[in-house]
Amino acid sequence: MEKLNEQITVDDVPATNPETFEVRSEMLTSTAVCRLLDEVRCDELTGYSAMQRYDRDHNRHNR
Amino acid sequence: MRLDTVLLKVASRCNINCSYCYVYNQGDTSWQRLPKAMSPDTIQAVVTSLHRLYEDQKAGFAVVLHGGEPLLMPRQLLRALLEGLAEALPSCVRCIQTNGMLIDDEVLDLCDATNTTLSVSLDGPIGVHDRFRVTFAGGGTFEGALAGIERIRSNPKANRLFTGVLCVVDPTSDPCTVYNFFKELGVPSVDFLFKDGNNSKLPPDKQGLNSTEYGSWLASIWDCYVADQNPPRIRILDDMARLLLGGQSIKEGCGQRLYGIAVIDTDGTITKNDTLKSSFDGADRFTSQWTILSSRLSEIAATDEFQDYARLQHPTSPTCRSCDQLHVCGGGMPLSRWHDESGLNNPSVYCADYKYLIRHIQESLFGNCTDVESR
Repeated sequence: MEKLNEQITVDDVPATNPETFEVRSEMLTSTAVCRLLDEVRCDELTGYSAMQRYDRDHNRHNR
Repeated sequence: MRLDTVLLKVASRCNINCSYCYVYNQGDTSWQRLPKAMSPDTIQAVVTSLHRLYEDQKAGFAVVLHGGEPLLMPRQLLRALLEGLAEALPSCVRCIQTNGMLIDDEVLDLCDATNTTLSVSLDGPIGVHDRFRVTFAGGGTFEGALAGIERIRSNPKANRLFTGVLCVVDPTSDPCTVYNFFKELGVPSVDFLFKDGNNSKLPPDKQGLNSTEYGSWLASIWDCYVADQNPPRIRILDDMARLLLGGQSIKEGCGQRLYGIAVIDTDGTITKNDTLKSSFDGADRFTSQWTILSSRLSEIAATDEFQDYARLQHPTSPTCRSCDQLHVCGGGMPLSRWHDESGLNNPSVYCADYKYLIRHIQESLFGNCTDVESR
């Protein structure tokens, strides 16, 4: 039980936000990709509320 | 720190015996010392405590009934808990993660009445599912799980009640067959999970630290997914792709957001993320003896001990810290970084799988990665 508490932890993680690359035109006809692009474009959907919205429709808590 | 997930271990036993289960078959023995189900007093304390947490945080969180098998909880207690939670936390998501074997009309009516959803564990077609998800006598459980899903789907409120399936990946199976099976079943979402394992104990069907069985299996699922004009949600692929597209993930094990996860055992003990159990016996226990009967969750979440636990989600290994894919994999689940001698200070046992999968998604989305990197 003590072992995990002795682990080193890090407060900050390297800032590695990706640049926005251009999605291949062939992928823009993909339903899954378009859905994700819509979500990324909408700030609300990528914030904390995205978790709650996903939980409501699906279940994020599988083990 | 804000809690986004409270996992209620409402039953500490299970009616089946999956060989890969982290609760019973990976070395943790805490279930043997726990009450089989939450008592009425503990249920009342949970409802009161979670209502107080909601008021303290002024923000919602998901409440997940888990086990063992949560539907082993006696029905009158399950009713008391779900009705109490619905009244105390009307705006919070409440769901049950079940193996599906005990779903009946009474459960569905109760879920409908309390606005509670169901997610079922199903690993794929019968030959895939029954390889690991077996009874105590060693028989298959596929038919029982499928019957449970069919009961949900035949309910008039199925669209609201059924949130999807949890599928533990079997990399020896054919990924397209598994994908098409879930499509034909009409599941709204699939959460593919890697089997538990670590740097001292390789996951089943993984040959070594540099092998990519799991990564290449999910890469094939990605190909099916993006070609499908009416795909279900696939949470892990969505998380990785969203991160590559500049967005964020929504679950621990991907990305670098810290998640606030508390688990409450059947006796009311508050523990860490239960998946840590697969690392060593008692790995999910806090040093502090917190219990829902006497501790305030918002105060626990503000302690150094809880925040140290939350920060375990960030990998510490120099290999991870300097990796250009860290923003996507996030180092994976902490349990998979474990090594009996070096603790969590290692890359995930699935590091090679993550790299393979992320590169595959990256190339699918943006074209040749060499071109991308040189832009």
